Parts: sequence; structure tokens; C-alpha cells
Amino acid sequence: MILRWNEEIKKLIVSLGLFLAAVLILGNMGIGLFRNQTRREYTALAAGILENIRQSYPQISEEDLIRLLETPESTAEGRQLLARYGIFEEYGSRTFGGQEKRLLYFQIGLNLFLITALALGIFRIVYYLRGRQSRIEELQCYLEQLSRGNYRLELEENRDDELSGLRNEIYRITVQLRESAALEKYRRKALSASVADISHQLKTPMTSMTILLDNLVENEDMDEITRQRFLSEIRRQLTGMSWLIATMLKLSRLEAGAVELERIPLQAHTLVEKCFDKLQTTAEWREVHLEAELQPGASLTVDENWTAEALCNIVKNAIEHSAAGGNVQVLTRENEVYTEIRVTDDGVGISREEREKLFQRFYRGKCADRDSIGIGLALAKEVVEQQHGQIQVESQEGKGTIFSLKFMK
Amino acid sequence: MEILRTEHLTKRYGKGESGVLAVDDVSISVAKGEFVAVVGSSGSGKSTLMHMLGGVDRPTSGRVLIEDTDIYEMNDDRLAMFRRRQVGLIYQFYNLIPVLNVEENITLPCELDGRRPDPELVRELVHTLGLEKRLDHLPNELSGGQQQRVAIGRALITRPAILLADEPTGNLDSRASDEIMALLREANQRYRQTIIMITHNPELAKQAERVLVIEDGRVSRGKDQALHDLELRTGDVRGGAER
Amino acid sequence: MNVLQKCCFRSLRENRKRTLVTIVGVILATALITGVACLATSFRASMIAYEKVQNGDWHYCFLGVKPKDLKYFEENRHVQDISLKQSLGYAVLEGSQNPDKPYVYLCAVGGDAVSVHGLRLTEGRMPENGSELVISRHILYNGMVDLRVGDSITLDVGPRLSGEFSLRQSNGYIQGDERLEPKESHTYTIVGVIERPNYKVEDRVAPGYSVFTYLEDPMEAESLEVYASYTDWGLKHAGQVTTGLSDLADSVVENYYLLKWILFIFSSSSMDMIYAMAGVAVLIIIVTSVFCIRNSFMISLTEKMKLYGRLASVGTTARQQRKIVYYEAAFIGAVGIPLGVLGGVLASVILVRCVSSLMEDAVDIPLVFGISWTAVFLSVLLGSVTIFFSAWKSARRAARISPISAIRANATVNHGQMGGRKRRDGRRELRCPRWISGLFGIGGRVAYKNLRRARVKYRATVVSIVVGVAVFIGMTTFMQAVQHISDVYYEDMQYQLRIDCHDSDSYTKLLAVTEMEGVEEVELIRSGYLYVPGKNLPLTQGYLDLCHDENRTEESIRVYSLGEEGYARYCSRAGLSPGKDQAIVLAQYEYISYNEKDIRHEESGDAAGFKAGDVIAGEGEAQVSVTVAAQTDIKPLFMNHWIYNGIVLIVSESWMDENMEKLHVADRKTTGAVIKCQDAFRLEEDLRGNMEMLNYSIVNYEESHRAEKSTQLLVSIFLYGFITVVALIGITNIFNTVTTNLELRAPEFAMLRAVGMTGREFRRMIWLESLFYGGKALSIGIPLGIAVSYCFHLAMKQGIDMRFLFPWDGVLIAVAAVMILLYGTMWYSMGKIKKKNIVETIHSENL
Repeated sequence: MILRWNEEIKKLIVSLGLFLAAVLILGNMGIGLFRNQTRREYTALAAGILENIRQSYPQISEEDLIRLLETPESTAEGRQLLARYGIFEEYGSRTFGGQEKRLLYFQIGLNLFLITALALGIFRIVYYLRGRQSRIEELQCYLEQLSRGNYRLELEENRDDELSGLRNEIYRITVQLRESAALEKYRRKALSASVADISHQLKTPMTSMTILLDNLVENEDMDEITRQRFLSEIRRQLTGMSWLIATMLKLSRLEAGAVELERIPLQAHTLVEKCFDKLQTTAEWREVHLEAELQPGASLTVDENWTAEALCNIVKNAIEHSAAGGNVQVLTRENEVYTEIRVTDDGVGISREEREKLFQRFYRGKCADRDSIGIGLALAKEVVEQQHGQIQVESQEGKGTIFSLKFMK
Repeated sequence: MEILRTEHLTKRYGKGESGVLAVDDVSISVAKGEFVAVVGSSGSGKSTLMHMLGGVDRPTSGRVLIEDTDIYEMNDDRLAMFRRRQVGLIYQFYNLIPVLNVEENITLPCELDGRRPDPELVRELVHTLGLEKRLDHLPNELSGGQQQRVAIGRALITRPAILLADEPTGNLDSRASDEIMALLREANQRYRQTIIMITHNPELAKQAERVLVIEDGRVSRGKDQALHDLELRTGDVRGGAER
Repeated sequence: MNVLQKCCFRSLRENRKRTLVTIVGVILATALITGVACLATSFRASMIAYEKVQNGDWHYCFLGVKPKDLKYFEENRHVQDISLKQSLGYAVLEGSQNPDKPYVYLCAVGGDAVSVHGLRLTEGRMPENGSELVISRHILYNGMVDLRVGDSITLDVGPRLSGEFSLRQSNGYIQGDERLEPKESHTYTIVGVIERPNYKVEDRVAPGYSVFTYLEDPMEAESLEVYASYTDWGLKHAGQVTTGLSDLADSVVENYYLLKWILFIFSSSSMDMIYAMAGVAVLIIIVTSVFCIRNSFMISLTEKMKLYGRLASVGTTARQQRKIVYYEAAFIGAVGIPLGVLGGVLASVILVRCVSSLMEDAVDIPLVFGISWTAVFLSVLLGSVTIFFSAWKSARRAARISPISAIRANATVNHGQMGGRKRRDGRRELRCPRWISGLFGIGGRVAYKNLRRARVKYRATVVSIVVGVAVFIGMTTFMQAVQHISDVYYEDMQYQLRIDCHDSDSYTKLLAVTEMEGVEEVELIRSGYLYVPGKNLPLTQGYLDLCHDENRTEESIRVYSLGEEGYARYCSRAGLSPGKDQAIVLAQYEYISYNEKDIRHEESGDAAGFKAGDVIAGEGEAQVSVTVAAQTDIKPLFMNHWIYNGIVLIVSESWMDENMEKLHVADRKTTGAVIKCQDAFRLEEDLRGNMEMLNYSIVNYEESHRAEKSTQLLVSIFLYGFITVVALIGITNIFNTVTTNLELRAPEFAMLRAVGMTGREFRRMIWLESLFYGGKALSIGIPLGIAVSYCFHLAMKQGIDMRFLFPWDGVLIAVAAVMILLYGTMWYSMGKIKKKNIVETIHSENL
């Protein structure tokens, strides 16, 4: 399409069209009148001349005279003759005198008319352009505000032209910028919260270790067994701390968006198998049976390591909540919209209150391992959600729990 | 940030004694990026409420403000354009245009505006919806679930301010339902799309972040208590999603 | 192509049948308009061609132009062609048997005389120099002079004078009062024979047979007749142009009829009638086609309601929804109108060809097909306007479709019009009359309630039928009126040939004719008249008032005899057996008058009331009296359908033999014969070849009869064609509305069947429905049709006077047709619906 037809342009073209039509009609009428008048005068003039000639010079035949009328040839001599009487081509003789004035009036009139029409047309265009200009200026103003960080919202327009569309888009950008700013704030808060959490979490083992060390140092004649116990305790705390720091770093990096997840197409069963390998021992130790129901060919596009870790955390959670002799089943399935990995256990289930806090950092469930710090699930959630995934939990106390991980295409 | 607000919204059908009060003095507020479910049994007025929110049915009294604009101040044409750009509608019975293929149905709102949509955007959306192989198909060649996905695509193409879904899974089997709900949640999560979903099924409602219960045209806040009542009535208690 | 166009065109493709029906409607309407216009222009072109042949191909004739002034005609800008004719004078025709035509009239003509003067060569060729001659066939058959091609003839040519006046062809031969003064003598070779020229060239009473030679040197002539054809511009300003040249001639004659057809000017009353008829025809076409097309658009809209609703829910503006309808209209127009115009042109070409082949033998000129581009342009314009107008309303409706109508699948039952009486507790109850449920069962009840409640749905169908029926009935009256007009002007002849023999033994000679092969019935006519005093006759009052001249006391009574055979046949036809000396009386009068508006008015009746046994005594050459056998209305062959104002006696041969001398007779020698036969032309040939008669004339009515019959046929064909197409449009319309109605209700029917209605009950319901709204439509349509007929009658009164004929046959046909149509359409639709799966139909609502 050459031009989009919106209201404004239509009105503009219609009004210009009307002007043009008026000019054409009136102009043509004028010319028509002029033509008739000229024709009449010419015929009268010719008749007069012919009759005169015929009367005065009867030897000139009628045919010759008529032929003259039909095919007049303007000769140089003839023109020179006329010129002697002051009749030139550029302006006529007295016989054309009356005609001259009328011609002049007509010309003046037509010119005036054309000028008026043109002026009206120009006014109309100017009006249109002015409208656009003012709207563009408004937008400009608005953008300036934006660049200054003033995200004040303006009313949206819903008119049928491209400036309106532009305005809507700008508005949308405004909203996005607003949200970005809010998100940044949130992130900073989250980060400082993380830091606070880390230091809090570290404080406890640190305090514990300090006491132990103090004890060790001060108590020179501690028995070997107790010493060994204390030392292993310290080691344990240190291991725990380093694990905590490592995991917290991971989580923080994830949350801050500093991690680049390398997403490649994977077979789902690869992930599951990796998990099972890692947790086989733990499961056996707890006497929990691991089962897998894998849809062949189910694939997803995720980062292998991170996702495997996330899955492991969830399976571990499932194992921890199962009683001895229980079952943990992992199911994969793919449809047109997502690929799902489902972890089902028939353990004690999770109550509603717990469910709400399950994915919070440092939340440890009732059945958690002594060593778990409670960020496994938080990490899993972050990993899944950053890869266009969703985690859902369904559970019935006493019956079991289902963790559903859906990775969108 | 508030994106939708109603003030004393009321809709009455008929006159006098035989009049029916479908929606009775409803004042709610929805923030940007929320996923809200409106639950109620049939006849509770939820569909009527949704139509009014979407600019489809004029209220008898009260206001609907979307992004601070009173949508019923506008005349019909402006309202149509507003709806085209700022409201996405998904229905129980899909309401696709039968003579247009999948791609054309999805890009319909843009085409009506005379604009061509960003091909990147379209490609990404189609990929997410899992419809890449079906772009040329007509609606009658698609299953129910696929048709609803097209409807979702059509609703999301303009990144509207709100997405209204009226019983989106009402006509679908459980598998297709899962797909649709996953997509809605994804839209809410990834695109920060504000979604208001109507349903009579409390389980589906649980998947939303916030629940409003409507009964006899009146809305109570989604207190757990009311939802719990609803659950007890339907007799099934299952877990819900975490955000 | 934008998305709205896509939606529109693809859904048109989906509903192919509906689209096709609409296009067909448009094609029919446009074709009709174009066809009628082309026929009109063809008719005009044919008349122009006809006139050119009949009266010559010239516009104005300037008489008495001097050769030196010729150049003005040649050089004049607005005179396209001229043809010259020089009148040379009269010469005596040796051996002419016609006492009124003793001369030949010699003219010299230019090379193009054949086309300009409408001459028709039967033998040989036109003269190419001043010594060659072409003669009129009339010389051979009327003057009985045997001249053939190749003969040489010497003519002494000069003016015809009566006193000082020079007489012309318009002056008949005045025996004894004129003389020929030959000036020149020239010998010519006859090189060709032409048919007797038309009236313009040779007057009927002209005393000289036309003969032509070649005009070699126009400049030598004394005066010339210039036959000029004007250019188009010249014709438009004919007055001016003619005035400009008129002083060069003694007088100017215009070729009235040709000009009349070219410039299209008739008498005011004829023009009024033509305009009235044309206006009516166009109105009918427009009304029916607008209806048909508008309905189609409305139906198309109803079918697309869902589509519009869905689009509206996505956010189309009112203007965008309207645009879809207009795209549809544009498409339908772009396909339908050109096809319609083509179809109309084609149909009229075919019609013209067919009719011309039918009429070929009767009329000499082939019908010409003329196409008027203004007519084509007008019909395109009219078609477009019709489509646009029809689409407009639908567009407005489309714009108002809200998304709700797509979301809520129910569309039509009105919430207010429940119908029925109010019961005491205020609720409305719709009672079904017992006879209906008795006769038709549950099906009938449902049908009845449907009809009462969902009136709006049926409106389109009912209105379509009403319009169709009213137009049809009106048209039948129209056609009858036109037939009547042609009947009034063209009456059927009972006999084909009429011979008048003026020989002395004409009777015997004609008797011989009766034995000829091919003669079916013959009446040999001898006639005379006598005077009877009026008071002796039982004249009726009507006759006395209207036809009787008060000053006249005596009635002149004509007496005819019919020949043996003819008389016997006549008596048996009249159912009378009069005695030898008795006469059969016919007494009638007919009074025709034209009032100030030129409208013809007839009054007729018996002129007298005779009884058997009455005696009529009167005076011819001598006293005559005759007894009346009976008075009858049955006329003998020769009287045809005429009404002879006054009293006529039919007598037997023997009576005439005895009494003929006593009667006044115009010409004792002359006997007439009227012959009814199969092949009039051949018989005429035979007669002319075999007859020994010398002085006779034969008139062949078959020729003009054929021409008239052909014209009648033509008119009938045209009218029937017209009414067929109009009926087709109406039928398309009704078919359209009924089938759609039923298809839209398919879910409802499926529901009924699912609930358990049997096939028989179902059929009853449908039958009852069609009966109901068919009946309703007819009850409105028939009175309306009669009203329309009456309007036609009033319009026709402008031209002629006739009584109002109640259109019984139109009504009956309409009723039968409607019933058949309705039943047929329903049967067809039901067949299709039954095949569909119940469940699918119900559910298809939701897609």
C-alpha cells in the first residue's frame, strides 16, 4: 500500500479533492462561456467581412472566400498590413476591443480564483501538518521526561494512525523501563538479603568452631578422643561452611544473572540417569526404591550440569521424605508445548503451610538431613525458572508428594 | 503497579421485577503481572464480569479502568481499537476465524491495525506454542488443544495490558488442559503478562497466584477460607503451585 | 490483500452455493436491463433500416434547386451526402389498360438512387447512361403493358398541363381536363425492372408509372431535387441547417418517418405511453432485482454472523465490518455485472436473429441488431447502484454486530414477542387452534408456534413471495393489455385474396376461379343498394342516436349475393334456411370516437330489430321488395370482422339474377370474389398466370397479415421472455430465502429428531409451515397483484380504452406456482438435512 488510509489523511484528501473539483468545474464553465462568446464574435466578424468583400468585389468567387474561412493561412504580408494599423498578434484591434476587456477580466478572475483555491489548499495542508507537528512535539517532550528517569504515565491514545501506534509503543517502553528499574531495585535488595543470609548462616558454624578451637587451645590436657572428636567436628563445620559458601555463591550468581546457562538439546533420560547414579547410594542407604519411567525420545533444551543438579536436589528431597521401603518414581514425558519431569514419592507428604515455604532459602523440612542447609530446592527452582520452566508441587499428607518440572519449548 | 481497577461495576439484564442482576457492585483491583483466577459456579456472573472487563459488554453502572483509562468513556470504534491492542481474549470455544489459517489467526489483531507484526516475535511465540508445523492449517484441521493454543497466540501477539481467559480449558481433556495452563503460566512468568482467568474449577484456580470468588454477582476476596469452602463443596483437596 | 479481504473472499468460497445464487441474481437483473435496452435499440435500428427501404435514405429533400446552387449543398459542413433527381416529365404509355394511369413519369436519377429512394430491382440493372431506362413492374401488372428488359421504347416527354398549371404526380388523372405537351423525344433501352416505388416516390393516385434513367449531367438541368443526408450534428440542429439552405429551394420536404425514428419523436400520447411502459418495465426489474439481491446479502450476512462476531471480539471497528460487506458486493458486482451485460447482449442478439428468421418471409428487411453504448453504460450503472444499495443495508447491520452474538450462540428469538393471550396470573399462553393439532399432530403445533413467535425469520420469505406474486399478476394483466392493443389494431382476416374483375363477363370468369386448385372457400359477390324510408324500418334507438343523420329520411340498404356455393355455406353457418326469395338481414352499428386526449372509444350494437316475415320495400332503379327470413349476427366471409353501419341484406343467387337490374349498382360489370385458401401467394401466381381476365385487380392480404402476425409473435415473445426472466429472478429469490431459512434451523430440527419426532410428523410440520407462510404470502400478494394490475390498467388508459380484465389466470398460475415451488424447495432442503448426523449438527453450532 502506498499510504495507510487513516482518518486524517482521508479528510485531507477529500478537502483537497473538493477544491480541485471546484476549480475544474468553474474553470471549465468559464472557458466554455469564453469559447462560445469567441465563436459568436468570430462568426459575426467573418460574416461582416465576407459580405463586405462580396459586395465590393463581386469578382471574387464565393468558393475562394469560403475556402479562406476553412483554411486560413496567416501570411507575413498580411500581418505586416495589420501591423500598420496597430493590430498585432499579441493584442487585437478595436473589433476585439470589447473582447479584450472581457478577456482581461476573465483572466484576472481565473487567476484570483486559482490563487484562492491554492491558498485554501495550502491552509488545509498546513493545518494537517501542524496537527502532526504538535503531536510529535508532545512525544518528544515525553521522551525527554523518560530520559530523565521520570516514568510518569500518560493516557494512551487509540486513534487510527501511525502516531498513535508510535505513542503506544513508547508507552510500553515506559512501562518496561519502569519495571526494569523496579527489578533492579528488587535485585539489589535480594542481593543484600543474600549477603545477610550468608553472614548469618556462617555465623553459627563460625561461632561453633570458635568455641571448639578455644576449647582445644585452652584445654591442653584434653583427652585424645575428645580432641579427635572436636577436630572432626571442626572439620565437619568447615566442610559444611565451604559447601554452604559454594552453593550460596551458585545461587547468588544465578539470581544475579551472572551465570550463563549453556542450553543444549538433551535427552531427558540422560539427566535422570545422571541423577540416579549420584543418588543410588543414598537411596539404598535409606532403603528407598528408585524407579524411572522414561518416554523414549523426550528431549529438552537445558544446561546439562545445572539442570542435573536441580533435579538431583529434588529427587534427594523426595528420598528424604520417603519412609523406608518407599518408592520414588521419576517420569519423563514430552508434548507439543513442554517436556515434563515428574518426581513422585509415597512418603509423608508436605502440609500446606510447608508447601508455601518449601522453596524459600534455608528452609529445612521436618525430615531434612542433618547436613542439609535448605537451599537445594531454592536452587532447583531458580535453575528451572531461568530455563523457561515451571515447578509445581502437589502433596497430600500421609500419602505422598509429586514434584512437577515443566520445561517449555 | 495497578493495571486494572473496577469501581462499583454493575450489570443488570431486563427491567423491573423480571430483571436479573448479573454483576452486583464489584470493585476489584489487579496489579501488573498478576495471575488472577475468578472462581464461581455457573450463573454466578463470572462470564458477565469478564465481558465487562474486556470491553465487550457495557456495564449498567460503574467504571472499568485499565491503565488509568475509563474504557467505557470511549465510543465504539475507539473501544474496538483499544480492545485490539490492549486486551487479549480467550474463550472456552476458541472462536477462531474458520477461513484463516493458524498464522493468519494469530496475526489477526496486528493485521486489523494495518501493521505487520515483528517476525521474530511471531516466530518465538509460535515456537513456544508448539505450532511451528501447523502454520498453514485451518482451524477445522486442528484438535481442541491446538485451537486453543492458536487463540492464546492471537491473544498475546500484541502484548496486551491484560489477558482475559474465559474457561480456557472447559472444552479440553486433561492433557490439553495441562498444556494450556502451562502456557498461561509461562506467559505470566516470562512476559510478565497480567492474566485474569475465569473458571468454575477450584483446582485450576489454585494454579493462579490470586483467587477471587464470585457468587450471585458479588465478589469476596480470595481468602483461603472461601476457597476452602469451595474445595469442601467439590470434595477434592490437592496441592497448588508455588510462586 | 488485507486480512478483511481474505476473510470475505474465503468465506465466499466456502459458501459457494450462496455466492453463486447471488451472482446469478445479479446476472439475471443486469442481463434483463441490458437485453431490454438492446432490444429497444435493435427495434429502432430495424425501424430505421425499414424506413430507409420503404421511404428512402434521405433526411431532407430540397425541391427546385438551381444547379448553380448545388455547390452549397456539397460544401455545407453539415450535409453529409446528396443525391440528385431531375424530373423530366410525362409521356404517354402506349397500351395502358388503366384509364387512370395513361402516362409514364420520367425522372433522371444519380448513381445511388437505389438506396436513396428505396428502389427494389427485380430484374436487370439500373441505367448507367441517359439512354437506358428502368421501368416499374406496376406497368406490367397494372397497366398490362408488356415491356421487357431489352426492349426499346420511344418516349415523347413533356409537362402535363391543365390550363396554365403544370400537374404533378400528386394530381390524379383528370380525364378531359388536361393535356400533355411533349417537348422532347428520346429512345430508351429498358435495362431493368423495379418494384412499384413507395409512396414518396410515386403517389398512389399518380397518373404516371415511374420510369427512371440516369442523370448524366446535372448542371444542364433546369432545376433539381436534392436529397440530402445530414451529419449527426446537422440532424441535432436540423432546423438551423435546413433554414440555412431553404432559400436555395422552392420547397423542402422532410422524410418524416425516418427522422421520427432517428430522432425519436412521436406523438405526445404515444410518447407518454412509451415512457409509462418503459418506466413500468424498469421499475419492475429494479424492484424484483433489488429484492433478490438484497435478500441474498442479508442471507449472506446471517450466515456470517459468527464470523463478524468473532472479528468484533478481536477488535474490528464498525467501518472494518462494513468494508467486508462492500468487498463482497464489489466481487459480486465485478463478476456478475459484466457477465450480465454480456448475457443480455447475447440474448438479444439471439432473439433478434431468431425473430428475423421467423419473420423473413413476411417482411423484406432482416431485423438489425443495434447496441446502444449508453444503454450498456446505464445498465452497468443501474446494476452497480442496485448492488450497492442492497449491500448498504447489510453493511449497516454488519457494523452493529457485537462480539456478544458470537459468544452467545443463540441469535434470533425475540424476547418480547411471545404472542398469545394473557392468562389470569399474567403469564402469556400461546394456544394452538385445535383443528391444527388435530389434523397435523405435534408437528403442526410446533410449526404453528414457530410461525407465531419467530415472525421476523419468516418476513424475508413472505415478502419475497408477496413481491413475486404481485409482480407476476401485474405482468399478466400487462401482457393481456398489450395483446389487446395489437388485436385492436390488427384484426384477423377471414380470407386471403380478393379479386375484382371489371370485364363484361366477369361473373363467368370468376366462376371458373372457384374451380381452381387450392381454393378452399369462395364467395362471388355481386352487390347493389336501394333506398328505404327510415320510418318503415325497425331501427333501434342506439343507432338513431349515434349514427343517424337527422336530415336523412331514407336508409340506404346494401344487398349482396354470395354465389351458389358461398350462399349455401353461409346459410349453413348461420343455421338458417331461407326461401329462394327471402333475404337474411344483418343490422349493426359501431361508433368510434376519439376524445380530446386521442383516446379511442367504441360503442356498438344492433342497428335495427327485424323479425322473420318483415318486408322491406324500397327503391333502387325500380321498386324492390323482399321478405326477411331472419336477422343474424353471423357475417359472410367477405365482410370479415367489419361492422357495416346500417342494414345489409344477403340474398340468394336466383334472387340476385332476377332483381339485380332493379338495384342501384355502382358498376354493373364488376364482380368481386373473396377467396380463402392455404397458400395465397401461389394461388395469386396461378391466377395471374392463368386468368383470361383483362381488367382485374388482385389484393393479397396474406402479406400484410403475415407481417402483422409476425409483429404479434414478436411482441409475445418479447413479453413472455421478459416475464420469464422476472419470474426467474423471483424464483431464485424465494429459493434462496427458503433454503437458507431451513439450513439455519438445522440444529433445531436435529434436536427435534433427537427428542424423538418421527419422520412423518416431521414432514407434516414442514408441510404445515410451508402451507402457512405460503398462504399468508398469497393472501397479501394476490390483492396486491390485483392492485398492481389495476394500476397498469389506469396507465394503459392513456393510450387506449378497454375494460378492466380481472386477472384470473394470473392468480391461478401464481397460486399453483407458489405451492409447487415451496413444496419443492422444502423437499430439496429436507433431503439434505436428513442426511446430516444429528449430533454433529447440534454441536456444529459451537464451532
